[in-house]
Amino acid sequence: MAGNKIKLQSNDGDTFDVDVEIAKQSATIKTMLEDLGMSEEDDVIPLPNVNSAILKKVIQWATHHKDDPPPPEDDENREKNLSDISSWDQDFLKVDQGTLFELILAANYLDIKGLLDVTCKTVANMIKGRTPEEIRRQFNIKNDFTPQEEEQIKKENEWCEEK
Amino acid sequence: MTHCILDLPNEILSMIAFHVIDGTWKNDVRDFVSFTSTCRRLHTLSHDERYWHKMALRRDPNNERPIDHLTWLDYCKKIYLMRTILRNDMKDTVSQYNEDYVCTIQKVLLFPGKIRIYIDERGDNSLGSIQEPTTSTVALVDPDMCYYNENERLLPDGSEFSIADTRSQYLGFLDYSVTLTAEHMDKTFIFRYGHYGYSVARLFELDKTFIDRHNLSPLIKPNINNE
Repeated sequence: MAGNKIKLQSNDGDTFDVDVEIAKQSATIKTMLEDLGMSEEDDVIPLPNVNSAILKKVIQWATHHKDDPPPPEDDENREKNLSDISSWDQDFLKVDQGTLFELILAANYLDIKGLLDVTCKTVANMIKGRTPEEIRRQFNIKNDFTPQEEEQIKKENEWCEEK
Repeated sequence: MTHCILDLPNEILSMIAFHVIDGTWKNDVRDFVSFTSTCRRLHTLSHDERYWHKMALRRDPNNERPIDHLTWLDYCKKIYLMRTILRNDMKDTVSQYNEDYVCTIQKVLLFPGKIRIYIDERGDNSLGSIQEPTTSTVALVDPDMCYYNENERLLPDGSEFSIADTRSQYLGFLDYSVTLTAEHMDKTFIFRYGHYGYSVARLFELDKTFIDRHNLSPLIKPNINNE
């Protein structure tokens, strides 16, 4: 570790100098630093699941959010009362679907809860208010139901259709 | 490169599904059902009771487990259009004759065409028997009104009490046939216990904020004349 910086290495070999406090938004990196004693000046933290382009985006997100309060603990039944996604995050996430999904996977691997939340919420917002067919088109999902299965599902879901 | 949503692991798809039913409460069930009706893999999410539990909790925050054989999905179907107004979401929760005869409103359930008010009425018998709870009335009035006249008030058409002791307590609910319509927008829903002398409790105002917070729109008919 040089001063307050560490080096993060993507799976395609690029290395990024990052402030320790920014990098520690990743619980995975925080654990590596604190529990595994990775503190030598020249240590490079390899991140084999993240490529250079995505790692750059993750660092950009973490830098912007470095002063955010820690996110609350997970409780799936808690009403999250999520306000809308901030305009900065909305702009940041104006990316193609492949990049969005890669960011989700990186946030999950690096255990950055705030980034995982906002990326999953962005995908959820692309789902809300759409019919199954519209969702299939949106995400290029192949309808693999048989006509009978599809009919059965429609029947099962009649109870919540608009009265 | 992950090009398709189905390339994501189940754990992530599950998180996305929770976000689909989270946030502003609008069409949680329909959005979830649409998402899980797109393909076989996503359809497996619809068998996970955690989602139905969460959607049931929004409608019934008291989180009372329904009778044993009912799944959360079945319970959610049953209460799909039910809305619960808890005490902390009400303006007033007390209708009282004096400090010895007090009716506390515990919660209000809204259904299409019906409003159920849970009450706990206590009296110490110092002025005699407690007034009959089924003489209690409700009305939707203009916000600045704290009383209502004969033709505005409604009597209950159903009730059930687990405690019905005329000398000390009535504990249970009263059902009123009320169909909320667009004409009721910005009106205040008020309740008065008994037939005489109790104060009027202003339970809630049907303004836009309240309607949005409790997702009441599916319960509000555009106009009573359209029925």
